[in-house]
Amino acid sequence: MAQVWREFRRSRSGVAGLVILLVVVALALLAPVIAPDRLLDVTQLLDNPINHPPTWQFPLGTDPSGRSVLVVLLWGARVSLLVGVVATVISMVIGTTVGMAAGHFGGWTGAALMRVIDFFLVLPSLVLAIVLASVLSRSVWTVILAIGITSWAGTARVVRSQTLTVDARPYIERAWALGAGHGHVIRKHVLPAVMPLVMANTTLTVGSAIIAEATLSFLGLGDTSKQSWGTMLKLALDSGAATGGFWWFILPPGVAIVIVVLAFTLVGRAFEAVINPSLRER
Amino acid sequence: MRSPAHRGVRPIAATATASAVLALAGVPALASTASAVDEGGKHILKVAYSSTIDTFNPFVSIYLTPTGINRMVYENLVQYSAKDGSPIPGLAESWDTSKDGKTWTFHIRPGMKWSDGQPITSADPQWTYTQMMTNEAMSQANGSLVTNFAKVSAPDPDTLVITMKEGTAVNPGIEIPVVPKHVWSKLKNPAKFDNSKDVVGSGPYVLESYKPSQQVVLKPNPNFWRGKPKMDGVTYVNFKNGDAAVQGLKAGTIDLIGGLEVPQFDALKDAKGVTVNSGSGRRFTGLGLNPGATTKDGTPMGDGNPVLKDPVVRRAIRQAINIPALMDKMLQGHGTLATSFVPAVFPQWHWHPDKSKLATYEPDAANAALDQAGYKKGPDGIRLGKDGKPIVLRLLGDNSDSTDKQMADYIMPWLKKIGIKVDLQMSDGDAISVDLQKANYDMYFTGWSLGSDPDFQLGINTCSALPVKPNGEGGTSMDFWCDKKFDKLYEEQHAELDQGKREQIVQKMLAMHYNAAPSIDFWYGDSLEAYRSDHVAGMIKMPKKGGMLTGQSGYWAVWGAHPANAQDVKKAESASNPTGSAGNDDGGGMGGGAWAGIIAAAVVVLGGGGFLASKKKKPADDRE
Repeated sequence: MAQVWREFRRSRSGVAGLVILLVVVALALLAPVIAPDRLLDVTQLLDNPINHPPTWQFPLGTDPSGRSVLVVLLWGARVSLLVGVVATVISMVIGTTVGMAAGHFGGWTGAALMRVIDFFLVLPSLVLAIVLASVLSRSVWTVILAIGITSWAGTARVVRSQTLTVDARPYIERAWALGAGHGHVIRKHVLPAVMPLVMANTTLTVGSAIIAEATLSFLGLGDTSKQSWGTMLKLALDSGAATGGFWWFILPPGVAIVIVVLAFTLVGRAFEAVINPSLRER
Repeated sequence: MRSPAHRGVRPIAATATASAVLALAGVPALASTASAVDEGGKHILKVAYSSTIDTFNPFVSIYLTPTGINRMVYENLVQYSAKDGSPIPGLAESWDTSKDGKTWTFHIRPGMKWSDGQPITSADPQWTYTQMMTNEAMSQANGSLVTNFAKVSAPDPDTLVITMKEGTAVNPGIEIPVVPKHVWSKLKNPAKFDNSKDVVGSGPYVLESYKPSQQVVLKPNPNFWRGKPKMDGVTYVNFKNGDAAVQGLKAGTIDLIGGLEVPQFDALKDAKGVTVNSGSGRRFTGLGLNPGATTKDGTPMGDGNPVLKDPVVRRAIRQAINIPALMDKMLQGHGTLATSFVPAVFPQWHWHPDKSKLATYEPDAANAALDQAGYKKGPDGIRLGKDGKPIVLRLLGDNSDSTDKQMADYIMPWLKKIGIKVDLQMSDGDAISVDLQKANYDMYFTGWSLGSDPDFQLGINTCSALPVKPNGEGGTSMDFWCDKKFDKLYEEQHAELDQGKREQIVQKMLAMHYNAAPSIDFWYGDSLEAYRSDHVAGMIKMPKKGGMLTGQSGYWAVWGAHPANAQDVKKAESASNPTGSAGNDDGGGMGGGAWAGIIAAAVVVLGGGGFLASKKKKPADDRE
């Protein structure tokens, strides 16, 4: 572990990404402290100007309901990060399980699983997510499920190929010879061997899950009762912010998405380089 | 997503052709500065639309855009005046009513022709009305308008006699599009006819072609009885996104756009060549409550929360909502507070009670009323219903309409203050329509566009509008509310031939509705619209003073439109002020003779009914 951290530290961009992430996560967790939720209750904000450009009182201006865009942005980070992370966990669990099974069992089972993976791989995930989100009832969990179920196929393929190489190693053969069963081999040998790969993949997938959440919310398929960066963009579109020139309401959620996704990508790349030395700079 | 489809039509400087057209149209032929001219040198009025088109079959269509287009295509027997919506001659040049209001005789103007050259006779309205009375499939859209018809006869080509079951003051000749018998009677199944190509009509423009999700093309009808219109065509261009349409207007590829958001409206105020108009709307916006829906025979239907059956609760909800503050946030001054569902643009019908009779924002009073009615607060501050369960009301909102979500953001905390929890359920318009029909709702955002006579809207608040079956079939009820006393007043006003007395009865009815509160009416929003005043001029507002251009219950704006000339542009520029009165609504669009005719005709009008141009249960704004 200490060695991983030492290797990771050598990547300056990875550390920068990690710092950004820690700051964003801390802000999101502390949102109720920094900006109490009464600041979101529009009935208590009747005196606030609406669609007002940035001032000292409202550093990022106000939205069409008179809420401070900064406050909404902070609260939006909670949903966006929650959806991004939980959807990725679902996607990783499915992807790792199916990938290992497809690689380890091979033969007829493996082939059948591969076809399932291929099916999800060729299906446009956004379209599938839209269908799921509109069929199921509207809530944050629906969005999480829709993203999680549609984004695991890539991970499964990567995990399967890693499983195949691990399975072929001599120490696995030795374990077989000593009488190990499938469960033992998968749990004790294959899983630890694919785990670093899964971890690196996770950090990369979170970014795309956050974008997927923003996309679904922007299309009006998310949970509109909760603030997220996607719903902010939807409200901006619906309320004519583009024509009105209210850049302070359009830019912040977009920039926030870019920063967080970039941070996840930086961390993911750095982590990938740690576990796969061939990716390191020569 | 789907890209807005608009024609690559560029405005170019006026050409000799343009001047010639102007001269022909009898308008002073000044050189246009810039005009809506396409490659062929034609002046096309391009209107942005975003709402649904179900069909152009006037017997079936209920959505705002197609019914609005059919107002251009088919002249009614009796038209609404641009001035105030009162009935004026359409196909009928005059009419007489028997003393008991049971026999209406219409005199069809001789010599009129359909767009294909066939003569228009009394056989056409006779066939149209009879179809709606006898064929259920043909009565889908406007069937409720002919339920009082006993018999329609055409004794000679210029005379149409409608015999009513009950005497009525409401002119029966309005609102129903009259179709050409020689075309429609040959169809095997007229109710299934989509009527979207080379349509034969009698209005100022007729439908030439329709491409779904792209555009609707109308061409002028040279046989229109008021004269050939002055534009070379009207094209409705589909936009999925309001901002895209606004950009189209700025770029000059769109000439007229309605339904703007306030920021868009404000941004267009200063745009060059664009004139904005904030017209008094004929639509109310409110919160519909489920007052315990039943069918006509009293069978309970739907899954509405039983607590809403209590008018005390419904009135408390009204007191808990700060409607003036909400309107200020949502419309920023572009609206009028509502008293009932009849908008203030119809001053003779609009309910104007003493201020003391109207509820104000008083959450304390609402809490007290609920306490007194026995709804005790539970441990978490949420009141308990008579069944001991916490009161949680579902609020249905339309995701495609940003205002629903914004209004819900205000309503939820306000209702929480009086101990009512709101479960906001956002979905799409079609899903909400289904729930509304089956009464599977507690609260939803409602809104109807009204015509100049409230008869239809009052009618759908009577018990007879309740559904026949528990699945909602056979019903047109506005809010599933039913009160026998209200029904009695409805019959009275329907038969009352004295205008003043009828107005008084309607006032009483609206007061009853207010006290029962099956819906809480918020406001009448202005219609925010903008047009290229350097391309087009002469569009007539409805009502003429402070009215709107889009979504009219007549054809006035489009009919009056003519290519802008230098004088129009100057006028528009000098009048370009926040209220957006372009100054060209003073009749400049029509020949003086035509106006004299209209005014004279309006004077001839007997009796007091205008009528409705109302429309179906919302959820989205796009239903007429």
